Amino acid sequence: MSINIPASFRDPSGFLFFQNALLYRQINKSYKENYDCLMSSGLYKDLSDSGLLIPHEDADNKYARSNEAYKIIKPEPLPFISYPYEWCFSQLRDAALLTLKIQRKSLQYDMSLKDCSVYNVQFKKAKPIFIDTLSFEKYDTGKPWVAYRQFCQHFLAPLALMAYKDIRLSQLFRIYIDGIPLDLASKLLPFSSCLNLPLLLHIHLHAKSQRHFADKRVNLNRQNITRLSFLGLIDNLESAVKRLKWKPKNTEWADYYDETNYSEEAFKHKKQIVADFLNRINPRNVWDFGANTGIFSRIASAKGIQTISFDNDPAACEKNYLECIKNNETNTLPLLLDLTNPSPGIGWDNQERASLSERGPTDMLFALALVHHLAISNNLSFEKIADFFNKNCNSLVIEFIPKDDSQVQRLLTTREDIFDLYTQESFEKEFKKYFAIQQAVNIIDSKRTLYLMIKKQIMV
Amino acid sequence: MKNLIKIAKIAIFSLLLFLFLEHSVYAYLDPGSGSYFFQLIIAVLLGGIFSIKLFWNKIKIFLRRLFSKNKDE
Repeated sequence: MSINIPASFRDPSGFLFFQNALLYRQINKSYKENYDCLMSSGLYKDLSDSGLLIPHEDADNKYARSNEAYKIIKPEPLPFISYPYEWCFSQLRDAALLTLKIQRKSLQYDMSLKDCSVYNVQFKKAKPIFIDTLSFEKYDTGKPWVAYRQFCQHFLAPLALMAYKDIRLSQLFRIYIDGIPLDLASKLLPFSSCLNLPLLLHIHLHAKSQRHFADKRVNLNRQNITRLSFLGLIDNLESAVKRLKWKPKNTEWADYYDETNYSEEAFKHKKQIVADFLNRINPRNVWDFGANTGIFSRIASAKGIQTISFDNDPAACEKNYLECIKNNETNTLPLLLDLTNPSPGIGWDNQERASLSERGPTDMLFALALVHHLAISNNLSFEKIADFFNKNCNSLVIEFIPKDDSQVQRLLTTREDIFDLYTQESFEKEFKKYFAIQQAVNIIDSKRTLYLMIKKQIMV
Repeated sequence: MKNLIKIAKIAIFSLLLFLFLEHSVYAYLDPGSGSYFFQLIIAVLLGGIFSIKLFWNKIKIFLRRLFSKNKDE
């Protein structure tokens, strides 16, 4: 069976497709010259050996999807595709620096990036990697960088907005699939950003220039930029990105573990139960919903299991990512996600970027100290929560926190208790519709229970 | 103060445009082409800054070597 991937339809150089569940890329004849140059110049080897570009192998041309095909290649598959609206600040910053590093290296081999989409970067073993083999073209001396605008819209503008204005502005990516329009970024940024020369140039004046030239006619053919100026542009963009910093402070969850009501014993016991459940199921991958800074995700990732650590707090996600980088943890990928409004399908026909559910299901899902937030803060019934988890996992590690627990009481202090159905019996009854409860363990020194459940359809 | 900075900003931008704007006309431009043209304008400035940076780095390396040599002696 063969399926085209909707994310790669824009590029006339080729496209990605699945054939018998394996990922392939067709390279069209129109891209032959540039592809041959990428391979023969040594650039591909340099980039793939240094882990900057996704490696691929040649595949049989019998898989060609059209007469346009020049070659079929088989890129190394990635365990999970994530998007910039799911990344924390440092993930986007590292993706920007990777792109510029690749552009700098390309110039050494007389090639250049012809597009700079943020969606060309993914995370492999917690580090950013460039995934579009067809983004390279021969460097035409004197020609300006064709991807300059895209770099500013896809990387510099969102990073500047996150650093100067509000970290949550990364969510603009969900609305603007081709990066943040520069006139909008310029309007939203505070005046202090004008005192930063690269931002003044690449965002504010750049936006004004776009507006100024929108209805003008000029001759572009006689304009050249020297290689030195080209390198100067890349260097300046790199300085701009490096100067942008964001330090987490005053957010909801980043200090969560300092404020929980667990005793040291209970916390240790909870970790042990999670480890036991993992050993029992031995899942291929784990999604940890409401992972905070990833303490429980690390129990799975330490066992070599690919683990995605989802949280809706940008500070917790940032801390988690920096921890992964610091300790060279390769099996954890921290991502930003609001479970009450998970990433939808966006772009053309709502199919260019997949929704969260389309990228699942995961083999095992963690929902630790989470259900009371969904049920009480977001008025979600156990039925709806069980249905959602059922769509997204094969097995489930879930914690039930009763109403008389101090954390639940805290949620109820500012609202009327209309949650009569928030009982352990009702919780079990609703989840049993989709899952078989394999084990239920009371966490010592607490009123909480940890469940291991397996989806009924999987068991049949 | 705010107005002064605003005037200075507009003045710099106008000067840059005046220096580099081609007078012959060929094709209507969309915002993407505006970016392309803007890049041509700033490239000279950034090339200059980059040259100074490279030169300055060479001086720093020279001084560092000189300093470490004196230290070794």
